[in-house]
Amino acid sequence: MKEHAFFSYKRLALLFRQHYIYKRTPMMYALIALFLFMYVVLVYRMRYSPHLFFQLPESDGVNNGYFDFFLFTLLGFAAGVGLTFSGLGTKSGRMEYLLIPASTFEKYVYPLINQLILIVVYLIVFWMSARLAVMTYALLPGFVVETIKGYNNEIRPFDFSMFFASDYIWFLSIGLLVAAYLYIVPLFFKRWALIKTVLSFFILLFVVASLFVLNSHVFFAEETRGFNIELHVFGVGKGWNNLEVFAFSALNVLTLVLFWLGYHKLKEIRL
Amino acid sequence: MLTIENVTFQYKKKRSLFEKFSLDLEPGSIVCLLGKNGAGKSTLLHLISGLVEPKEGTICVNGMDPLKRDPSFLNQLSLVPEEFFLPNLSIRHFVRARSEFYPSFDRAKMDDLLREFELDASAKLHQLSHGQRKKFLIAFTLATNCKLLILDEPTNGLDVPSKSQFRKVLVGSIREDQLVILSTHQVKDIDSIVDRILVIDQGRLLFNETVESINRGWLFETVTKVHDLPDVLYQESCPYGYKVIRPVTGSEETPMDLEVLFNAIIHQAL
Repeated sequence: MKEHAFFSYKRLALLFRQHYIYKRTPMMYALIALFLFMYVVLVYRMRYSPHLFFQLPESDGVNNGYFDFFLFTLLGFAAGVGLTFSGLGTKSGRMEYLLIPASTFEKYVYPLINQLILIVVYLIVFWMSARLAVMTYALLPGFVVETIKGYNNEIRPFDFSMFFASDYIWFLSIGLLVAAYLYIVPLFFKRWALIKTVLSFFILLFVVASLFVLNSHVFFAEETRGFNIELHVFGVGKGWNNLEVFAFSALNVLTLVLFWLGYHKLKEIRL
Repeated sequence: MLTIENVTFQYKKKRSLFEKFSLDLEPGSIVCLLGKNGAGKSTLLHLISGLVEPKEGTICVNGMDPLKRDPSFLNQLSLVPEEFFLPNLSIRHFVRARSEFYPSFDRAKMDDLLREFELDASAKLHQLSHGQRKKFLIAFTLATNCKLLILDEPTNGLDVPSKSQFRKVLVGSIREDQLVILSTHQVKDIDSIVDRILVIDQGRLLFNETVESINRGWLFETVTKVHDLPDVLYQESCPYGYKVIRPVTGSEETPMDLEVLFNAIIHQAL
């Protein structure tokens, strides 16, 4: 049976298979190292700053002991996303990549799916290390439980509902935009990549600001002058205001545009 | 199989490398691409592979446009570049990771070729010498059984026994539906195995003949004196006297000397 030129599950599976054969050993070591690192740091922080892990009063949330550490380690993933197409920086790397018998679309999406898989694996590893850290903490001899007024003075074992109590949807949208930006940047810049990356990031911020200015000119034309934002805030239901709806839409549309640009750039890439 | 029509190509801010370049090649032969440094041999191979884009003209391989990089084009093309990238894996793992992309990949042939090149399947690619890595890449390329095989300077970095191994495995593993294009400066390494000679210079196709027609048309001789020889088309001195090319007048035939032929073509003696 003739396979489709644009997309085939078989070829996508072969790309994954190739990727995991190439990287399985370093990935396994990296996961073990990550698990141990997170476990040791969490136990250390629980030992010396246990209140960071106490249950917050009258809330499903928890103090920021888990969350800030979680964000910090996610930065590593951002770096990983940015390195996806780094192999295209050399002629032999580009040749190898371009000549793999898979479609451009498959070659473009498989690293993205792979990053999603890695994030799920990372969450599991984080959950395991955080749970183990709490168990270890309880066994440590001679710890002093701090008493903070109004807090349930017990370390709360980690579970993912803690994050969902916060504005995770914004965190996710901004994270996706940054990921899309980091993902496609190496496709556009070969020389002076770092400087161009920083400069283009400011251009991206300028585009976001311009969208708000445009919104202001369209809906509040009489009050807006020049490059200014004059937006009235009003509720639009389900706890969202108009500004939030616009910002949320702009972020996600921009993310899709960046991914689309990246795909078309990859199609045009030559040696 | 391969049709290049009126291709014009230039690198940015440089003069045109090819102008209105055309070429037709059929499967079932080993084609040797020759040219001076900077003549555009590697660029021509990259154009055929869809790695660079012509400014004008069309290239068609098996009815497909290489620039589209369709999987059905890529899984019938295998290229051994002059400079290559190989991951830090064992040969066995590399073959497992890559072979299934190629529908005609032959595992048994791969094992035979590894044996022929004296390569251990458990050896790590990064621990091999440059020559051994190149032999591995050649073996993998031949085992893909792709319809179009492109070898850019395949004998560079190979030791003397490996060069003869290379000739043996190349001739022994090519099928009638395959086209092999190899570019080299080391003509002595391949002059006994090629079927067709292409010579390019300054973006033009100077010469395009089969070895059979070359042997039918010219005599390649080494002589001590040239002045009493009739019809000498080209001559160059060598330690034993002169190497000459003369037209065939009778039924005699001599083995082709590719180096002398190339020099004669470049000096426009033929």
